[in-house]
Amino acid sequence: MFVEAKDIVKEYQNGESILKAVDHASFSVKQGDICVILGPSGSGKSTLMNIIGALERVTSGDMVIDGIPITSLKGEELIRFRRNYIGFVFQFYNLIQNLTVRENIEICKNLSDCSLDIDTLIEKVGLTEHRDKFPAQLSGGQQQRAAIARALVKNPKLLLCDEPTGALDYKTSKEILNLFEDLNRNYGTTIIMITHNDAIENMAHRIIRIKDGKIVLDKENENRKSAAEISW
Amino acid sequence: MRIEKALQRLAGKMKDSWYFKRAVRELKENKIKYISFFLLITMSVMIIIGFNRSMNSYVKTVEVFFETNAVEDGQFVVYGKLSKRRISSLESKYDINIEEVKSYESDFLTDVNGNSVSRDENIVVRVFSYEGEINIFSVLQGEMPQKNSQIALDPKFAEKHGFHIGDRIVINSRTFDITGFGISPDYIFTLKNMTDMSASPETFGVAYVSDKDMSRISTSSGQETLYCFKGNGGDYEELRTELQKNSSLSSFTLRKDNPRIIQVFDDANAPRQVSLVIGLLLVIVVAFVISISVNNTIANESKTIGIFYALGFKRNELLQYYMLLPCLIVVSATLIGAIAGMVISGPLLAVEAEYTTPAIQMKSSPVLIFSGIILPVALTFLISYCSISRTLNETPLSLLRGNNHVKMPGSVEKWIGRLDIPFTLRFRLKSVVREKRSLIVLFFGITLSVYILFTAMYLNDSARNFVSTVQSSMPYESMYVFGDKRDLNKYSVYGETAAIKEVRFYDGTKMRNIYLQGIDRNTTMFEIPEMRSLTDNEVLVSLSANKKYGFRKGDEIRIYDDVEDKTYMVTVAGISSYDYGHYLYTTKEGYNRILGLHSDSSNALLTMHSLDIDGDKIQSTFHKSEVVDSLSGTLNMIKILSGIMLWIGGSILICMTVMLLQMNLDKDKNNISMIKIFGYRKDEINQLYLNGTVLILIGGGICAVPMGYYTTKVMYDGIMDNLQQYFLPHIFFLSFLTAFLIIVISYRVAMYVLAKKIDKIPLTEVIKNRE
Repeated sequence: MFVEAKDIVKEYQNGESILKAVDHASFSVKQGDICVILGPSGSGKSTLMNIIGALERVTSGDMVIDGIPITSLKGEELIRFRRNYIGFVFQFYNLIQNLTVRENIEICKNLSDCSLDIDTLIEKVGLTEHRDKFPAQLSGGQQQRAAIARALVKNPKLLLCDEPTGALDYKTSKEILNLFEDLNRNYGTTIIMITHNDAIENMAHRIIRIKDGKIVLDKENENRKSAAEISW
Repeated sequence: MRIEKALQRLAGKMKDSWYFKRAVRELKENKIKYISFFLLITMSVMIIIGFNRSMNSYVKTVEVFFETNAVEDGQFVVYGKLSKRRISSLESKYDINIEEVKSYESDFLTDVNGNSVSRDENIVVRVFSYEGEINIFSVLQGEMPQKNSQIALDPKFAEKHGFHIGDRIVINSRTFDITGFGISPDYIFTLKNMTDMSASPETFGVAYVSDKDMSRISTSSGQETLYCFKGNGGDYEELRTELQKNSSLSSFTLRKDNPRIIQVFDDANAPRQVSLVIGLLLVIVVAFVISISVNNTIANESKTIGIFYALGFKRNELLQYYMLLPCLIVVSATLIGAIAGMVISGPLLAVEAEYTTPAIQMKSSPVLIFSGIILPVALTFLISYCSISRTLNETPLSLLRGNNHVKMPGSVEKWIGRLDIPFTLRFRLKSVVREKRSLIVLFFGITLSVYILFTAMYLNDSARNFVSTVQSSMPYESMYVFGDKRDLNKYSVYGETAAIKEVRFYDGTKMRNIYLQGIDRNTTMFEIPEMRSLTDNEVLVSLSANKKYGFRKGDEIRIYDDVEDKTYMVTVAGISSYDYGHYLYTTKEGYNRILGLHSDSSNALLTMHSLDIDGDKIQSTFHKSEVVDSLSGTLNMIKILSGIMLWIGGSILICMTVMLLQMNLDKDKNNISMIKIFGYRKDEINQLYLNGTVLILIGGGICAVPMGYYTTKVMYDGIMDNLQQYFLPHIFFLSFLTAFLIIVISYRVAMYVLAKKIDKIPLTEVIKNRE
């Protein structure tokens, strides 16, 4: 398994009480899969994604990615892990406003020795005409494309997407999902996506549902549809 | 009681109000920024209030002392005496009072216990009468001498030599009881000679006795008489001319040219003006910093303001809330700075410790209160009000959408984007352009702090260098000027004879004093080989005079001899390497030729050791060791001033860098969090967000060093305007290195604090921020 979560617990101290954000969660994701994590607000899906992305430490349990036990990594090792393995896509794109599309992508290119060619990637995400534009000159969908290109340029093995269509309209969301599918197919990148949108589970190889920090569903999607086929 | 209750009610209301709580939280979250704010304002107010209150009060007290004690308008020395009729005629013609100043110069004889009497030829007490109507003596401690055989001493001399009220002192075989300590206005700077640079209470002091005692101890040779005069001000050049024509004038000195009286103002004005400029510059820089901070806060808060508006808050309520914190900080920092300024204004009087004055009456002038207290508060209020008002003019919807703060990169940023340079460099250049406002303020802040550091070093080193110049540039230890050639001949075996005369010349602005000195052709003391080739009326100018007046080879100088009322022309043949004092050097033969004297005339003896010569036989003396000793006291004062300036400079550098860069970091918090997630290492992030500041530091340094040089020059030029000394600012390599180290350490401290701040930005910041 490429991603293996073993009995993950994440607790937060909230005054005198303890809040369990992730409660004994175990799951796994195969390399090259698209995994969709679903759940309502406050269910713990973002915390789980932060743990997979080595942004937060676990209270107990193990998280192993590509054979690396990331829960035991420290300081510089964690940074190196994120640098080499993980790409992030955020709900609100988080592009740097005074950098052009190309420059926003360039910021991540230097982090990897096996990075992808920026211009090819820009073409892939359909932004060739907009490569020298600044974020404020782009639509939401175009900004998210740029953010995806930025996440992919360092050629990560795992792409983590936090509500990537949450701020987009239906049509643009579908375009972005199509793009993820293409990238998964062409580059073999493993994608873990968290979302509120139940319809998106249809394009996933693996579906995980989480509620109150507990995994309530973890299954392979046997009736997988293409992104173009799904609707909501 | 009613006010107290109202204040309590207000405090209770504020404590419970949401905006007060929110302001406290904001303060806690950004404590480093606000502490830096606070310190900078406190320091600038402290500098303005401290120095100006101190120096203003000092000058005011001295002015009042001069007024009440009828300070002279001028003084002159004539050979012989003026007749009563002549004095009356001059008095009525020029509408002045003329008073003879009797004095007796005594080798110092102590007899504290009434028994043993010891003698020290190097210590001189100049005794005056306290009964004159011009330059009236004031007792500062103890009692005024009331009757014969009572004496008052100048307090600095008394302190140095351990005299107390009630002790006895013997002068010219007469015993006096010390009743008090005091001074007359013409000796508040107790210089033995007007050409001295500093007072030296170790070797020279003044004392005051009754007219009767004065006549008893004085053994006037009748050679020269000193008169002082006082009128209604005005131009006394005609008086000088008349005295030159009709009396044997030996010297004529107006109050404005008398360092014993006037030097105090030059000394007080220099630190006062420099501190005012530095303080006001600091206030202006801080005001800009506050403006940037308020703008940033408002930019970050625009959505919140939109929500407040949408919820029905009024413009005034929001204005009050957002102005609360900056105004509270500025008001409290200003008050504390003002209190600190008042506290240090007392100890700062130590800068003027060389002078003897009545107790200083500390007063704060309205201008001072305005520039030190009201100005910083008013500036902050105005800037905050304008910044906040502009944002509050936006519609709630525009604020909620954050439209007002989405700024498109300008043409320069676009141009930088097209440059074929490494990405990190391009990123940093773009950041510089984007944050140009705060970086310009940072540049000024850094320049100001480096400037203060280097000015401190220049001030200290220039004075230290001058002392070593005196030591190395004076080829003899003592110079004795004799009134009678026969006395000179008697002692000539102990040294080298020379000739010296104080003359005047016009430098284009006013009459200046300079010494014409004739040196033995076969001198073993001076090393001026080019002197032997001087012909006719050629002279060599001392380096110090050349630096001040900028003489050039071939220049013709018209010199005036007030004693003989004659004018001579001399030609500058070159510049000598001797750097102490204002001298025109020539050979003794040249000197006599210029002045039309007998070819073997001479009046001075230069010796390598001080001699025991009867005071009556000497007109004036000069000892190198006295100059060095007296300058050491001045040096200590400068050292204190420099220490304060170094501390202030370093603190400003740290506060300014931390404050402004932290504001930029706050703006970039999301981006920093994001690039941390991408896998950027600490050093890479610091490189992107902090390291560019080093260029600003270098730029600031390049501007600040010459500014420090120039300020020191202006300060010392002012101080030395009436002195026959001059030196250019100097900095020793070690001090340069020290200043450099202070800058580097301050900068590293600032960078350390900021790197910690970057470190603390959580990785999840960007994920949390989903607005």
